[in-house]
Amino acid sequence: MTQLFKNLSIKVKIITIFALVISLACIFIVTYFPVMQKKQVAGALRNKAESTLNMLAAGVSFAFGETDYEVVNRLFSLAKNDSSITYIVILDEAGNQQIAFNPQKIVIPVINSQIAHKTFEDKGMLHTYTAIDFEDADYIILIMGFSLEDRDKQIASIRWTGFAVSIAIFFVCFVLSIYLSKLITNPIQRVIKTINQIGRKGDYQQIIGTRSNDEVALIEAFTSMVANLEDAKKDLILTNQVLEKRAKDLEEEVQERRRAENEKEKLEAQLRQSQKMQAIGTLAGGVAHDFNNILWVIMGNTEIGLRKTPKDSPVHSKLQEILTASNRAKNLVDQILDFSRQDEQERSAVQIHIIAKEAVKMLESTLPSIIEIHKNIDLNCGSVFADPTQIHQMILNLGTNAYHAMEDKNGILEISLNVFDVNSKACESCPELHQGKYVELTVSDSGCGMDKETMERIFEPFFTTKEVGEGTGLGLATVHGIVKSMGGAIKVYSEIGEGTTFRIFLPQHGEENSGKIEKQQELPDLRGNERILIVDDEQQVVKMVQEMLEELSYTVTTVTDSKAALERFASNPDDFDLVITDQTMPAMTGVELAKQIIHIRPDIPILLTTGFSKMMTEERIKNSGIREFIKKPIVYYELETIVRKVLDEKEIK
Amino acid sequence: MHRYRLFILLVLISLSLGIEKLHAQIAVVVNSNHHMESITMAELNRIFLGEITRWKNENVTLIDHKYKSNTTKNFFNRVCGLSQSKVRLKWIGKMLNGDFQTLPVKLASDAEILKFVSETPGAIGFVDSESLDHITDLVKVLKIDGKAVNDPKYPMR
Repeated sequence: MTQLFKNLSIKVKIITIFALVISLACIFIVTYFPVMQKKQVAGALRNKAESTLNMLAAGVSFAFGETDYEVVNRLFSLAKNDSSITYIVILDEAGNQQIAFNPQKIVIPVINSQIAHKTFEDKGMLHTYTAIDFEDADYIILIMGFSLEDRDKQIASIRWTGFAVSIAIFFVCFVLSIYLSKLITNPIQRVIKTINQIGRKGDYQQIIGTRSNDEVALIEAFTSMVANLEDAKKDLILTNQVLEKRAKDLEEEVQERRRAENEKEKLEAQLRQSQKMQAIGTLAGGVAHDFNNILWVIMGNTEIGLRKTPKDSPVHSKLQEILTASNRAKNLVDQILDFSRQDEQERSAVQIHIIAKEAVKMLESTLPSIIEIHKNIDLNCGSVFADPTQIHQMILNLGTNAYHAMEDKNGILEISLNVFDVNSKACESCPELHQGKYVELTVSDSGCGMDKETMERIFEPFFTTKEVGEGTGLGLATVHGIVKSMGGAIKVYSEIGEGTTFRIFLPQHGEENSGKIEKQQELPDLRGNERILIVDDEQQVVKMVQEMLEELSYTVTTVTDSKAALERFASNPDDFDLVITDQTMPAMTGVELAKQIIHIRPDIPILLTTGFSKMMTEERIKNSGIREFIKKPIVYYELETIVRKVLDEKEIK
Repeated sequence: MHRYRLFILLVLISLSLGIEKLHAQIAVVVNSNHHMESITMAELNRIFLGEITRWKNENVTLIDHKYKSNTTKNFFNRVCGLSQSKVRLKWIGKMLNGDFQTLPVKLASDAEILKFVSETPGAIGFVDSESLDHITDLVKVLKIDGKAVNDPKYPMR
C-alpha cells in the first residue's frame, strides 16, 4: 500500500492527501454537527415544552383561584396556535381524563403519579406533565404532548445541509488541490525538462523560465545557478590555464635552478682546482725564479767553456753533457713557469703549423724509430694568439706522453692540425667553446690507454703514472694551463689497450703579425761590435753575460749597482749603443733605471732581463721605453738573437 | 366570668347568623331583556356545565363568583352536583376546546353581578336573595321550575 503510494506522482499524491483530508472534514461535518444540533434542538424543545407546560399549569391553577378565566383562555389559545403541541390533557388522581384537547386522538401514556414533574420522549413524541394543586388535598395532572416532527425535520435538514455543504466544499477543495498540485508540479516538471536539456545537450542558453514571485521561483534560481555555474566553469578553466602556465613556469624555474646548481658545483670544483693550481704555481714560480738564476750561471759558463775548449777535448764533451742536463733543467723550470702562467705576455699571433712542424720534427728526431709518426698538418689553418714556445712545448709534452704510453711496443703517433669550425651543433661536447673558428690539434697514440680514474686526474699538477724520477707530473697540467689561458679547450678520449686521443682547440687569430718568428729564425749573423752596458746586482750573472757578449765581439761595460750605472751612463751617454739591465735590483729597479736613461737619451735601446716578476707586464715594459725583455735564465742563442735584433732595429730607424 | 359571658354571646350571634344564612335563597338572575322568565334545574345544570352555550338570541355568559362562599358551594352542589372547583375544571376544559361562545366571568360581589347582568344581555348569574333588595328593572330574577324566590317551594333554598 505504502509502496503503491510512493510510486504515485507528486501531483496525484497531493490530490490524494487533499481528498483524504477533505473527506474526513466532510464526514465530521455530516455526523458531528447534526448530533450536536439535535441535542441543542432537543434541549430547546424540552425547554419550550416545559415552559409552556408551566405556563399553562399556572394559568389553570389561577383559574381555580380568583383570577379571571380570560387569562387561562388566552394561554390556551396561544398553546393551540403552536403546531408542535399535539395534545393538552388534565388527568385526575386516578388517571382519568378530566379535560382534553387532543384532536389527533393520541393515546396518553401512563404516567408515574409518584413523580410530580417529568418530561420524556415516547413513541416519537415529547411528553411533559406537572401536578397542579386542586381542592385542598387533591391534585390534577396537566400533561402535554409535543410533536418531534419539526425537530426531526430540522435535524434532517441540518444533516442534509451539512451533507450538501460538505460535498460543495469537497468539490471546491478537490478542484483547488488539482490547481495547487499543478502549481507545484508544473514548475518542477519545467525544472526537470531544463535539467534534461542541460544534462543531455549541455545547452545552457535554452533555459525558458517564466517569471514568478512565489517559492516556485526555483526555476529562476536554478537558471541563475546554471548561469553562475557556467561562469564558474569558465573561471575555473581560466584559473586552471593560469595555474598550468604557472606550474610550467615553476618547473622551468626549478630546472633552471638545478642547472644553475650543477653549474655552481662545477664552478666551485673548478675554483678549488684553480686555487690549488694557483698555489702550486706560486710555489713553483718562486722556486723557479731562484733556480733560474742558478741555471743561468751554470749554462752561461758551460757555453763559454764550450766555446773556449776545442771540440775534440774530453772537457768539451763533458761540458756538452752539462749543457744538455742544464737544458733539461731549464725546460723543467720553463714548464713550471709556464704552468704558473707568469709569461702570458709573450703571446703574439703565431702561424701554428710552423711550430707544429718544428715540434713534430723534434719529436721525430728524439723518439725511437719503433714509434711511427703520422703527421697531418693543414698548412692553411691560420694563426693563433699564443706564445710559440708554449705551443711547441705543448706538442712535445703530448708527444712524449704518447711515446711513454707506447713504450713497450710498436705504435703509431698521429699528430694532426686542422681548422675546426664551431657552430652551435658541433660544440655540444665542448660547451666551453664559443661559436667561431678554432684550430684543432689532435695527438693520438695506439698505446695502453687509461682508465676513467686516471683520466679524471691527468690534468692535476704533480699527478703522474710514471716511476719516481721519470715524470714531473707537470706535463699535462702545463698543457691544460696553456690551453685554458688561451681560451681553448682540451678533450681526452681513451680506451684501455686501444690508445688515447687528445684534442686541443685553440681559437683562430687574424693573419696580421705572423711573420715575426720566421724572421727570427732566419737571422744569419748574430755578431756585432756595438758598445753594451750591462747592469745586474749579481756579479756572477754580470760576468757571464759579459763573457757571452764579448765572445760575440761586442764591447761590454758592466755595473753591479743601478745608481752607479745611471751615473756612468749620464756622464757619457753616447758611449753606449745598448743597455742590458736586470729588473730586480736593490735601490732602483730595471724599469726605473730604464726610464732615467731614456730621459737622458731617448733613442738608446734597453733590454730588460727578468726572472720572475708578477709586476712585469709586456705593456708596462714597453711603456717604460724598454725595447725587449729576456727571460732568465738567458740562453746563449736567445741572448745573441735579441741583442742583434734590438741593435738592428735601431739601425733601421 | 366576664370572659365566658362574652364567648357565649359571640357563639349565639354566630349561630343565629348561620341559621339565617342556611335558610337564605339563591336567586338566578339574567338581563331584563332575557326571553326566559323561568328555568328548570336541568336547564340550569346544562347551562352551568357549559353544555348549553347559547340562548335564543345571545351567547350564554356564565358568571362565577370570585370568592368562594356558602352560596357558591350550595349553588354548584345543587345545580351541577359538583364542587365549585370541579365545575371550574369543566369550564376550563370547555375553554380549552373552545366550546364557549363567550367566556365565563368572575365577579367579586353580588352587586357587581347584578350590574354585569343588567348590562349584558346573555349573562346569567346567581346571587343571594338578600342582595335583590337593590335590584333594578334591568335585572330579571328567573323562576326555577316555575317557582319564584320567595315561593316556599323554591328549589334553591
